[in-house]
Amino acid sequence: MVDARQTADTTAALPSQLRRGVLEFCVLALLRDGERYAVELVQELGSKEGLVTSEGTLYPLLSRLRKEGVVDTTWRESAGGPPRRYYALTPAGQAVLDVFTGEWERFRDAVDGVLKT
Amino acid sequence: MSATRNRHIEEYLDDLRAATRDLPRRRRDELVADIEEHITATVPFGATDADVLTALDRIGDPDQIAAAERERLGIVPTTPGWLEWLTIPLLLVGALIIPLVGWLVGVIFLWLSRCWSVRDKVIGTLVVPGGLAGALLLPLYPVSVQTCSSGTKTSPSGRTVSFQHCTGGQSTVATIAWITLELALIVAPVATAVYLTRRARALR
Repeated sequence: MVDARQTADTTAALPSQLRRGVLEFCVLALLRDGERYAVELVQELGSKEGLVTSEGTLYPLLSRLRKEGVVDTTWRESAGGPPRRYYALTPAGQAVLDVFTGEWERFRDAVDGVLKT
Repeated sequence: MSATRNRHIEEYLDDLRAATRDLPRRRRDELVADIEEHITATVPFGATDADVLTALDRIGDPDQIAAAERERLGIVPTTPGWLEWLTIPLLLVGALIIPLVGWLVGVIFLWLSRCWSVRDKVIGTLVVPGGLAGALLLPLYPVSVQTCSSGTKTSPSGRTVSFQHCTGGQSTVATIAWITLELALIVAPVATAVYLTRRARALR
């Protein structure tokens, strides 16, 4: 029996399931044009509607990307404040981003094609 | 910086530290430092309570952040189950039911559990080995170590005198020390049991 509650659960879980797979590539994409201060990076991602529910959960993600070697971090002195951590894309990260971009376009077109028929 | 910091921020960071307690130390310190830096950078100095709370809302629930980090590290969420609820009574009174073995099983369960940190486990093991049985190892009442000898002996003048000679015995200091030790052996395992219960529960 597929009741209304089950449908509601599926709908509620949908954004987070969609997000889970693509969020890390959005981080890489934001670093495409050069290194960025961690806080600015997190704030920019957080400002995109529907992409992030809690800005704080991005820090574990950033940490994972660093471990995977797709981003690199540097500490820089800031004027009148504590040192700031900057994130930059590594060559490996650039390669991953390129692959994702191609895959995403195919995937998006395929889903759009199915939804519109 | 921290002296003038908003109390909501302090509370938030305390909650975050509590929520991430079961994470490896370095990861936890790094995560808390990241979030602290984020707050410092995004909440202007002297912001109103409302502004601070809005900023903290955006950062999100500490439990959610901790869950994201656990997921990243592949740590299974630690929900206390039957193992944990058996461990605590076994440590406390296990040795009273089956001498030594009962407590040892409790120690094995304690170290098998993913609910407690290594520090918690060391405390659970060392305070106090045997649990409440330790208190029973001390005699229920101090046995007098007083030794007396009595008899008769002949004095140089030829008269027979009886004598009693005693050595040792319970001094006041020794009695107080004994009572203190006995109390400590009762209070310490109980305190450990309460501590382990609270630590397990806090992670739920």
